[in-house]
Amino acid sequence: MKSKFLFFLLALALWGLSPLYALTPTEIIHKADKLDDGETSISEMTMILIDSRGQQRVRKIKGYRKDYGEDSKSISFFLSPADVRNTAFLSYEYDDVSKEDDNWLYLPALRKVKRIASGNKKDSFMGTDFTYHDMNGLEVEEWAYSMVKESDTVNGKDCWVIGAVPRKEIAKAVIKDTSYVKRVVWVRKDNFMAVQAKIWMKKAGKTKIMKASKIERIQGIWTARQVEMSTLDRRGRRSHSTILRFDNLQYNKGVGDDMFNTQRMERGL
Amino acid sequence: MIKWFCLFYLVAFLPTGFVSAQDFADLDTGFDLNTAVEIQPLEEVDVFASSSSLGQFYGFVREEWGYAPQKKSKNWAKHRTILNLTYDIALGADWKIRLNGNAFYDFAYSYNGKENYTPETLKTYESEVEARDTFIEGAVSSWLNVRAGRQIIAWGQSEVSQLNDLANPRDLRELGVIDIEDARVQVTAVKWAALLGGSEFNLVTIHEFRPDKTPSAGSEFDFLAPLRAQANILDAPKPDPKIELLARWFIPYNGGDLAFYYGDVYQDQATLAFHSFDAKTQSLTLESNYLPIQSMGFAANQVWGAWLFRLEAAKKKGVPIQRSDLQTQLAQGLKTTPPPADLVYGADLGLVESYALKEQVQLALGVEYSGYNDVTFSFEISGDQILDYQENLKTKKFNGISTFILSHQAFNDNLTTRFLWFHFTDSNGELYRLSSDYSIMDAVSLGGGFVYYQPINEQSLLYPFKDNSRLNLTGKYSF
Repeated sequence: MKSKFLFFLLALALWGLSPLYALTPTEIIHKADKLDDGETSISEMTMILIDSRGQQRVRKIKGYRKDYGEDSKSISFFLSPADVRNTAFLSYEYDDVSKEDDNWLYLPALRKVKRIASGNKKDSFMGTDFTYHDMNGLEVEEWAYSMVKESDTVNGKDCWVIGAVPRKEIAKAVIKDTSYVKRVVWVRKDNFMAVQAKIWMKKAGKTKIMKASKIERIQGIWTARQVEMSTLDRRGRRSHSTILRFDNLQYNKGVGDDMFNTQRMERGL
Repeated sequence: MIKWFCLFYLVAFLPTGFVSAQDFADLDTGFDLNTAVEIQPLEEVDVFASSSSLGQFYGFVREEWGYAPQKKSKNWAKHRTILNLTYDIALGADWKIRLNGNAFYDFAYSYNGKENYTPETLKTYESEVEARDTFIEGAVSSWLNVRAGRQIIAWGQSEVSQLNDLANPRDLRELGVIDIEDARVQVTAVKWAALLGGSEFNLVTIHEFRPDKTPSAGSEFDFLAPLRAQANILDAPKPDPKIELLARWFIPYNGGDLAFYYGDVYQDQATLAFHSFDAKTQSLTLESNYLPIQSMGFAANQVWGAWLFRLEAAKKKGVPIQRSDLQTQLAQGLKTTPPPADLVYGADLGLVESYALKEQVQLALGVEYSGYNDVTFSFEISGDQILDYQENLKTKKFNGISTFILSHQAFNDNLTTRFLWFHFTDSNGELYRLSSDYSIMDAVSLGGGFVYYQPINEQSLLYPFKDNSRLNLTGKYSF
């Protein structure tokens, strides 16, 4: 009787600890996808674009985001360079995949707010190495995951290395939509942050390498203050890189609903 | 030539976007974990400058060159230096003042000899200094904003036609050459914007009358040139003071939006009214006039994947349409009207009605596709119908224009190319325009392209401009 009770306690303990020790790759990716990013955020983003010769271009953007349940609204104002200054981008993103995201662009030269279709998310986000999919996050359910390596170290932190390929029954559509053939991602075991990734692209045998750094806990929320994405050609030579730096991040600070409308885009900051 | 160019462009520059089965045949061939990438040491990048400092000064200098190869003389059509300066002053968190001015000087007139141009042409095209966006703007409350001063109010969905976009006159001095962003002319107005739930209501009162900027007499784009051969045309007097009124109710919803418009404004395009006929010299004089019109309309957008569908419609009352039978009316009027003592027939004698006020319906349908790599295709058909049509009007009952626009971005958005094709259905004319802009560095860009006018016959609207086709080159420094 006593041994049966001990066995029961052991089983209970193992069941309780199982999320830590027996997570499947899919569960890990889901946890990484659901990391807390605050109800609202205000950020100042510096975008550094570096071509193959090392020539830099710098864009500065101030962004506001607010969650509405599972949906979210965001608005970004371009501060520099001078020729794109006052450009604004407004987006309503819906958790329900049957709903189209709503996107508007304000072009100061035209003084006009223009609705834009969100169909081509594999396009470069403003000339960077990130696509719109990279910025908004790929659909987790569209990929099949496998554990490539149980343990690998990135910047001194232990990580799972998880491979992802499009689910076979929708592979053609996913590749067409994302332009990605397969991916491998390093997820930190202590906080479930994706800190490194390699992406194989359909186009011309190119690959992309993503590296997140300057990882800090800001107002209790794990945040990568710098994210790099490089595009490599078929021979593995770097053709272009983008560095995103985030400064003055503020989470859960009052962001009013009146921030997310087309009138605000025209008015600017 | 243009069609071959388009084909060449599509083949040479547009990347393939199709997926074949081979693209994902080797998905499970393993993962190479090498992530080494070498980024050259970065130049120092300034930390984020505060966006709430008191004043922000910025602008650009642009050089524009235009060469008209088909002209027999004066081939250097343009060498314009443009300076545009803006100063934004923040007044607390919710209010700001913007001061913007634009000035240009065109050296081409000196190159070609100023004596070869009319004084009106030099006045219109050689130089200009203008206050543009100059306003104060802010939030009266969390749901009510106001902007007062010289400004542009760009409404409607049509890319080319003015259906409900009635607030600002247009710069029509160089047909097809001027970018739409430079074509709207600022007016002094007060614009109220109220957020009502998820919708936005705008009320605009315009307190300054500015007409379209039109080509001067004797200039290469003077579309009144054929008429000037038959009549003297006097400049327009300012219309009677009147506060023009515009309203819009904009309703966005998931996947699309709707907007309703109302306008009670002066038409910005001049109407030629009978001024006088001098029987001694047999000279007819017409006078430009600006007449009020009323307009109601709506516009809608609907997104479906990578497709964007646009619809816009408007119904206008009191639209002045020029008549084509001036000479006939004149001949009949001279027979039936007793001659005045000085033999100068004034407008009060009602000798000639040079225009008729009509109702007009306008419609624009557009579709935009952006599902192809870094390319956007846009096609629009717009047209208008005069409702109570009469045969003696200069304008046909139905008029239309088709527009095709292809935009392509390459090299990490550093190269932007835009190709436009306009087809004027009423006059069998085509206008092609290509412009490419390459950003050499953040502050400096170079551009080039052409505008090509292809009238089909001598009746074409574009026929007078057939030799005005241009090669363009631009250089821009932004600061």
